[in-house]
Amino acid sequence: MKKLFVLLTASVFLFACGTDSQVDKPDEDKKDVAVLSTDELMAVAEEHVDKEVTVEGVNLHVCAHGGKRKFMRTEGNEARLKVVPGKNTPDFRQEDEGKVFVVTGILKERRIDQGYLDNWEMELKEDLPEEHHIHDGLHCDTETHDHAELDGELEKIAGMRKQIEESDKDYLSFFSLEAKSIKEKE
Amino acid sequence: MKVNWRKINRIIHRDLGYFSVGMCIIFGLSGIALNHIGDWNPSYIITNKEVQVSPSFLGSGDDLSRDEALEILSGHGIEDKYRSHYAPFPGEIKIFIDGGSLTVNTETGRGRLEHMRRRPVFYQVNLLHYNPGELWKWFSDFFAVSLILLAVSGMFILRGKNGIKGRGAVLVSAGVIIPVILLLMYL
Repeated sequence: MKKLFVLLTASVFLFACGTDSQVDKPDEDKKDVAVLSTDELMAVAEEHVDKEVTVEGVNLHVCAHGGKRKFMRTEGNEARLKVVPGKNTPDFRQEDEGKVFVVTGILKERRIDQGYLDNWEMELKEDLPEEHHIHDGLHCDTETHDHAELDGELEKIAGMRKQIEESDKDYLSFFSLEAKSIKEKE
Repeated sequence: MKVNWRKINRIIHRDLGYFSVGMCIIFGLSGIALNHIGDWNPSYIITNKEVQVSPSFLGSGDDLSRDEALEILSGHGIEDKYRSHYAPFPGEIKIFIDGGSLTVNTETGRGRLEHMRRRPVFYQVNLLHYNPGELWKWFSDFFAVSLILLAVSGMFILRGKNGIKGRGAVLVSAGVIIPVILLLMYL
């Protein structure tokens, strides 16, 4: 029995030593990082695509199914930012809604153009029964469609087409942050 | 020297079986919970209560100030729990509090007070099931390999009519055929 205990203890230590820790590094490593509010970041988002940024904002909503998405914004401002957990960050928790977080991660851009909207509309009109991705970047990743939702989706597509026509670009940009570290602000 | 494979097989099956009890329960419970995720929230118990907020507190509508939000909460006996608030839609405000939120229609004053608490046992097993970190990833990989070894070694524990050449063959076949049939149905 003693041998078994020693073996198990040694295994646990070996296992622990050979694995990277996901705990945030101490604050001194991050002293020089500029922290942007979500609205500050969204104002200059195109300049930071695929770059590391640190952003602070209120956690507005966490997707209930597994906590794979959350949405942040600066208090008193409309701009929202979608945040997804990274390889080494835990999933988000619903109980943390309303708290302020500082998130460091890589900013990603998703472009939606008329061709994309054409395909989306075609899929909807074919009334595919399978799960369909929600494209506007402001909602949780997937939702099952039913007929009642179809009109709403088509309306959303029409709204996006209008936004593209009114903008000086031929696409819409939706930004999200792939988190590398997340820290709750006290 | 002749190697006693049967004995080695039994030892592997016995010790891995003992070691895997905890993980089997964790993944069994969370597996059931997540299978039915469309029907319930397996991680939290959420309760809702209808409330009415006096229109005098809602004068600022969607631009509600922090002080006004605190007053609304105070009117419902909620003190020192305010986190933040915002307007998710025009005509609606949501005030986040510790352990829940208060959502109010700014025109009618009708609202919903939501309380959220962790569902005992299920919150914890679901957290683990969703792979909370690197250490867990490797430990659960080890468990997954253990399950394969348990399955394979389990087939060769008994000899005779209840072994893999008799009863075992029938049950193993059934356990393989059923998922294959279901797979073909879903493909």
